[in-house]
Amino acid sequence: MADIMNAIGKTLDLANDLPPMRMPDVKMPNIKLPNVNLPKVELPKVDTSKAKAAAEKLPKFSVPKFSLPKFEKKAKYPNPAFFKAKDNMDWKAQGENLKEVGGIIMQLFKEADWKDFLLRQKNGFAADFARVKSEVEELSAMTPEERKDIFLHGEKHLGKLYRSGCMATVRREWRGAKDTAYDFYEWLHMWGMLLGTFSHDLVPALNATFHYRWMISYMCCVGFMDKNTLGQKGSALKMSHLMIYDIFRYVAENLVFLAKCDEKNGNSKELNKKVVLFDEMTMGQIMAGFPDLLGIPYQLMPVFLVSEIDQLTCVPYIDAVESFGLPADTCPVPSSECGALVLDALPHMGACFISSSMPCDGSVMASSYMSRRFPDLPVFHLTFPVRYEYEETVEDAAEDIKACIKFVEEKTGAKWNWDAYFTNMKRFNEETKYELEKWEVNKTPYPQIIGPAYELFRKWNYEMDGGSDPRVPKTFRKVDKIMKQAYERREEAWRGKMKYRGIVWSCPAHYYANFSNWIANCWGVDILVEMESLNFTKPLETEDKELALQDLARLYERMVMRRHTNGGYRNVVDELWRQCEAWNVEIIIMYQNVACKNMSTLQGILDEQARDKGYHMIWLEHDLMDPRTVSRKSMRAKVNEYMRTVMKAEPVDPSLVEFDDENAM
Amino acid sequence: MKKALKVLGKIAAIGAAVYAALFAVFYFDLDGKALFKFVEPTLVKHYDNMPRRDPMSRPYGDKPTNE
Ligand code: SF4
Repeated sequence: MADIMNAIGKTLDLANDLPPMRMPDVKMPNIKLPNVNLPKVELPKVDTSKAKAAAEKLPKFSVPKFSLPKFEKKAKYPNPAFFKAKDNMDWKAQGENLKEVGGIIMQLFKEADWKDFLLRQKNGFAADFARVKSEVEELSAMTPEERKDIFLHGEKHLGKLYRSGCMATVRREWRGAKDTAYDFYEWLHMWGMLLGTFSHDLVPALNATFHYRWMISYMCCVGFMDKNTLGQKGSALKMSHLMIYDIFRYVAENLVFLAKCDEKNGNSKELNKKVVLFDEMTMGQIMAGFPDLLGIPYQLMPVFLVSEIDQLTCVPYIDAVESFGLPADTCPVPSSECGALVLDALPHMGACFISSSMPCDGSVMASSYMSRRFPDLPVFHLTFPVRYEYEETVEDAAEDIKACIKFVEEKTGAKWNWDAYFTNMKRFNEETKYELEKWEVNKTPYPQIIGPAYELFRKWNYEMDGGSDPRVPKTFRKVDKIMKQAYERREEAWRGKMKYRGIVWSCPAHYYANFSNWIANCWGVDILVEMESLNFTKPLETEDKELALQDLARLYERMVMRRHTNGGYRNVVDELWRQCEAWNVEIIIMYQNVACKNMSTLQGILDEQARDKGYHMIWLEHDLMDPRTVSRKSMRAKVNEYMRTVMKAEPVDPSLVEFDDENAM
Repeated sequence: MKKALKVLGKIAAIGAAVYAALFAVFYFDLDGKALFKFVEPTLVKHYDNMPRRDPMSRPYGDKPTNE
C-alpha cells in the first residue's frame, strides 16, 4: 500500500513538474441548417366537468398561513419604567436640605481662615513645583533612548504618585502615549456614563448625596478605577477597563434606584412596590424569575462595595455599633451593616427583604438588626444547610427557595416566570463558560487576565449580576477575544513584572481591594486567582423546573466565602493545595481577617502543611473593613519583609516599597 | 468656501481647547482633587449637622411587625 501511495505521490510530483500545455487554435466551419415545415397536429377535446365535480367532493386542504416571527424590540435593561416611576418627594424637606448645604458653603466661606487656606495652597503649589522640577531633572538626566522609552512605554516609578496625607494622587500615571490616550478615553467614558445615569433622575440622586455620607465616596469611583489599573498597559489595561465599567454602570443605576425609592429622598411609591431587597451576601439569581420586579442588593452600596472604594467609609459604622456594646472582635461585615443602621445610613424602601444566614452567623445578627430597624418591611430568611456537599440536603435547600419565591409573590403580587428564569440562567451559563476560559489561560505559563479588576468583576458577576443584565455577555466576549489574542502573542499581563505566580486565599481586606495590583507592581508577584473566584461552575439546569430549583440551591450554598471559609476542612485546606497545583503557584497570600473565627482555627494546620509542601505562604493580617486595626502600610510591610528576608528578592519598583496612603481613598 | 473653512477651523480650535482642558483635568487628577479638597469637606460638615434617627429614643410601645 505504501508503495502505491509513493508511486502516486511521485506521479503527482512529476505532473507538477510538466510544462503547461497550450491548445492549438482550431477554426470551426460555418454550418447552415435547412428550414423544415412541421405539420399542425390538433389535440382531441377532453371533457373535464366530471373530474371537476369529483375534485369538489374531495376534502378541502387549507394551506396554513405562515407569519414570520415579529422581532420584538430588544428589551431594555434595566427596565426604563423603573427610572420613569413617579417620585413623591417631600419638596419642603428637600428645600431645607438645599438651604442647609447652601448655608454651610456660605459659613465655610465666611469662617474660612483664608490666610491658612492660602498658605496650604502655597505649600501645595510648592510641593507640586518641586515634584515637577525633580521629574524634569530626572528626564533631562536620561539618554534620548530612555526618554523615548518613557514616552512610549510609560513611567517606571509609581510610588511618586502618592503624597503623604493626601486623598487623591498627585497626578495620573503616564502609561506611554498610546495607553495614556486610551486611559483618558476610558476616564471620559466613565464620567459620561455616571453623569448620564444620574441624569435619569437627578433630583433624588442629588438629594441622596446630601443625605448619605457614603454617596460622596462613589464620586471617587474614577480614582478607584485608577488604583485598580495602576501599572497596566495594552491588552491588560483594556480588559480591566471593560470589566470595571460594567460594575460601575450597575452601581450607578442602583444608586439612582436607591435614591428614587428612599422615603427620605425620591420616595417613589410606585417603584417601591416593585422593589425586592436582599442582603449583600444573598445572590441575585433568584430575581431572574421575576422580570417585572427590581432586585437590589440593599447593603451592597452603603456598606459592602463602598468599603472597597473608600477605606474610611465603614469606620463610623463600626464605632457606632461598638459604642452600643457589640464586641470589637466581631467580623466587620455584619458590624458595619448594623452600624449603618444605628447611624441611619440605610435608605428606607422596598416591598420586602430577603435575608440569609450566609456566609456565617454574623449575617443572622445583621438581619435581625435590620428587621428591627424597619418593622414595616416583611423579611424572609433564607437558611440553607451549611454542609452543602451532602446531596441529601439539596432538597431542603430547594424547598427554602420555593418558599422564598412564594413569599415574593405574596408581597409584590408578581408571578414567577420560568421562561425569564431560564433565559437568564442560559446567559449566566454562557458567562461561566467564559470565566472558565480565563482560568485555562491563567493556568498556562502566559497568564493574561490578572489584577483586582478581574477579581472584582468575577465576584460581582457571580453574586450580583448573575446573568440578569443582557449587556454583560458582550463584555465577556470582548474580554475573551482580547485575552486570547494577547495569549497568542504571548504578552506579559504586567510588562516586565512577571516574576512569581501567586494565589490569594481566605477573605480579602476590603479596604485594600487593589492589593494584588500593588504586589504585582512592587514585587512582581502576579495573583492568578483568588479563593473567592473559585466557586460553583456547573452549568445550571435550564429545562427541568425541579432540577433547576435544586441547581439554584446548590449555587446559593456555594456563595462567596461560604463555599470555602464555612465549608469545612476539605473545602478550605485540601482545596488550597489542589488549586496551588492546578495553577502552578509558588506564593500563597494567606489573608487573615483578625475577626474571622472560621479561619483562625486553621492557621497552624495551614502553616505546617505549606511548609511540608514547599510553598511560600505569606500571612497578611487585616480587619476587613477597618483599616485602623491593620493599616495598608502594615500589610505591605509584612510582604516587604518576607520578600527581602525569605525570598532574597529585589523590588521591581522600589518607589512602591514604602509610601504613605493612610488617608488615600 | 473661505467662510466654511473659517467656521471649520474655529470648531477644530474649540474642540482642541476642550480636549486639552479635559486632558489637563484627567492627567493632573483635578477631578479627584476637587472632590477631596472642596466637595467632601463641605458635605462632611453637612452630614455631621443632620438630625438622624436615634435608636435609643424609640418608644417602648413601638414593636417590630416584620412577618
Ligand atoms: S470574613 Fe469570616 S467571619 Fe466575616 S463574613 Fe466572611 S467568613 Fe464570616
